[in-house]
Amino acid sequence: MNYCNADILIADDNADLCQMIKTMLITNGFKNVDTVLSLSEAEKLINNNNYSLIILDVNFPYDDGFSFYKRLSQSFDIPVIFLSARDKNEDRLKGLGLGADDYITKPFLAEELLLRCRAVLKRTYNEYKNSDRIYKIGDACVNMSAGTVKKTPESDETALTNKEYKLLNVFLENRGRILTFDFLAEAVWGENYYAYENTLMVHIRKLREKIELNPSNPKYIITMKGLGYRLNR
Amino acid sequence: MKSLIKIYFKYVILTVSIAIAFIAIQICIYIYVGILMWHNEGVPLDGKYSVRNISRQFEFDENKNVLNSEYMDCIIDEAKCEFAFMLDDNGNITWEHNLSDDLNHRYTVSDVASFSKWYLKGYPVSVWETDGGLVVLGYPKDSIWKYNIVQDIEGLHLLFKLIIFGIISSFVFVAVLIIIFGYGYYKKIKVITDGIGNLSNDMPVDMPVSGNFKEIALCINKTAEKLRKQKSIIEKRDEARTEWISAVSHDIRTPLSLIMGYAGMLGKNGTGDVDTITKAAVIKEQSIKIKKLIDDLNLASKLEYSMQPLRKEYIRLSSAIRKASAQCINSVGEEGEKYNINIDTSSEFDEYILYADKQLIQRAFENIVGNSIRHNPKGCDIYIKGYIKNNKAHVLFSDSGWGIPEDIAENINNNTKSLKHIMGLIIVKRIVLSHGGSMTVGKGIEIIFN
Repeated sequence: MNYCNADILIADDNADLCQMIKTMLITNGFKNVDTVLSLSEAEKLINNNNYSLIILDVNFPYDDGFSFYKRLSQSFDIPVIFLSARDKNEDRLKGLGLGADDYITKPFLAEELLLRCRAVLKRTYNEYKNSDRIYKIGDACVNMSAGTVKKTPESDETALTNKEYKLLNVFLENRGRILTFDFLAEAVWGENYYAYENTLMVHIRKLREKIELNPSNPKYIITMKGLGYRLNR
Repeated sequence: MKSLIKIYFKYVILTVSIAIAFIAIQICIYIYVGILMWHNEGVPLDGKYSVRNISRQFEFDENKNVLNSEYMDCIIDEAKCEFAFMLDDNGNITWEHNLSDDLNHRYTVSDVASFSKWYLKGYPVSVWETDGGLVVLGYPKDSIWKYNIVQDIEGLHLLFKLIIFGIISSFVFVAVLIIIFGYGYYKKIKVITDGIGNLSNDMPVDMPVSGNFKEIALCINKTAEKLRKQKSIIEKRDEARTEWISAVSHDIRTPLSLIMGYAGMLGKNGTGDVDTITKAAVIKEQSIKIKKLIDDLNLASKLEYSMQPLRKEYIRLSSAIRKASAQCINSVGEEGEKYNINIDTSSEFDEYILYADKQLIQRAFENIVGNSIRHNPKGCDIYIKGYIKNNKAHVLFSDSGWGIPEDIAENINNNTKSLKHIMGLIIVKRIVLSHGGSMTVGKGIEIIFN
C-alpha cells in the first residue's frame, strides 16, 4: 500500500493547527488530507468518505473527542490518533484504553506526528502485504517472520528459541536505545520478572552466539554496565 | 498531651510533700517547746530566783527561827514576789514578809494541800520544804498560770495514740483532697490542652465554653475558627493558582504546536536558505524548551500545593534508577556515547522496594541525570550509588562535570524562593518530599527514602 494515497481526516477546533498539520502532511507526500473544525462535520465526512486515518483532538467546544471516538468505533474500523493538550496520564491511558492507535500530546514535533501517522498506517495496512520481516545485524541476517538467523550469508539458518525471539524483537523495536535489565526481563517473562534477571544474561549470551561473529567481544548486542543492553544500529 | 499527666503527678507530689514538710515542722516546734517546758523547774523560771534557790538561802537557829531575815526580805523583793511566809509543822506562821492581814493566820493541812496545788486567795504560790518549815512564796495575781495535770498512764497512751492517729488521718485527708481537686483541674486543663493539640494538628476544635477555663476555651475556639478560615482562603488561593497555571499551560499548547510545527517544516523543507534553516532550528529547539518548562511548571505547582495525586505501587528503586538513566542516555541519541553512567548499588539496595509513584520517582531521577547531561555537553562520568543504612534507602548522584553551583544548592536546601533557575531540581525535591523522603544538595545530590 502506498501511504501517500491514504485519506486522512484532521479534526481539531483550531483552524490554524488543522492547516499546519495539513501542510505538513502534504509537504511530506500525503495527497488526500481533509480538515474539520467540529465533530458534527467530522461525522458527516466520515460517513461519506473512506478514511484511512483520523487525527482527532480531544477538547471540542460542547463535545469531547473520547465519547465521539467511542461512538465512531462501533460502526467504523478506522485507526485514530488522539492529539490533545491534555497531558495527564489518566487522559493518555483513557484514550489508549478506548482503543486508539496512538495518543500525542500538544505541543508536538511535526516530525513526530508524521512518523506516528506512518507507523499507524503501516501497522494497520501492512498485514496484507505479508512480507517477511527481515533485518540486518552486521553480517547476520534475521528473519523475524520465520524466527531464524543466518550468522553470515554463507552460514546455515538457525532457529531462535521462544525467549531469544522475544528478546530480539524488543531489541529490534528499540534499536540504538539502551534497554534496562528490568525492561528486557519484563518483556520476556512478564510482570513478575524479578527472579529472572540472572537468567536474562544466559539468554543474551546465547543470542550473541547466534548473531555476533565474536560472541565474547560483541559488536552489536552491547552490555551497558549497570544499566542493561543495547542493540547497535 | 502526655506531659499533662506528668504535670498532674508533679503537682500532687509537690503539694503532698509541702503538707508533709508543714506537719514535720509543726511537730519539731512542739517537741522543742515540750523539751523547754520539761526543763523549766518552777516558778518563776529557772535560775537565781527560783523557789528552790531562795529557800536554800534561809538560815535558821536551833529553834528554827530565821536568822537572816533582812537579807531574805531583800532577795524576795528582788524576786518580785508579792509576799512570802514560812509555816512550821503545825501550820503556824513563823516568819513572814509583806504578808497582808487576811492571809496572816494559821493554815491547816488542807489549806496547804489546796494552795500548793492551786492558788492562795487568787495569788499563785510556790512552796518548798526547808529545815525551818515550809517556805511559801506568793506572786502577783494573774502573773502565773498554775494547774496540776493528772492523767492515768492508760489514758496517756490513748491520748498519744489519738494524736498519732489524728496526724496520720488528717494527712491522708489532705492528700486525698489534693489528689481529688488536682484531678478535677487536670481534667479541665486536659480539655484545654487537647483543644490546643487539635489546633496544632489541624483538627477541628470545638471546646465546651464553661467553668473556670471559659475564657481560655473561648479564645481557643476563636483561634481555631480564624485558622480554619485562613486555611480555606489559602487553599482556595492555592487551588486557583494551580488551576490558573494548569489552564495557561493548557492554552499555550496549541499555539506552541503551531510554532513547533512550522519551525520544523521551515527547517526541513525550507527554501534552501541555510540561514532560514538554522533560525528555524533555533525556534524549534527553544519551543521544545518552553514545552518542557510548561510541563515542569505545571507539575511543580501541583506538587507544591499537594494537588498531584500519587499513584503509589511497590517499585524497585534500583530498577527506577536504571530506567531513568537509560531514558536520559537514549533521549540524547548519539550524544549518549559521551556519558558514562556508573551505577553502584548494594545487593540489599537492589532488593529494596518502595511504595511510591513510579512515574514521579522516575521523573525525579531523570531530572537529576538529565541535569548532569545537559550541563556537561562535552560529556562526563555520572555516578549513582545506592545503599541501605538504618533501614533507609540512600541514593547518591554525582558527576565528574561542573557540579551544582553553591548558591543553587543552598537555595534548594533552604527552600529559598529564588529566581535562579532550578525548576528541575525543585521538582525532584518536591517529589522526594511528597514520598516522605529527604534530599540534600551538595557536591552531588543525596536522596533518602524511609
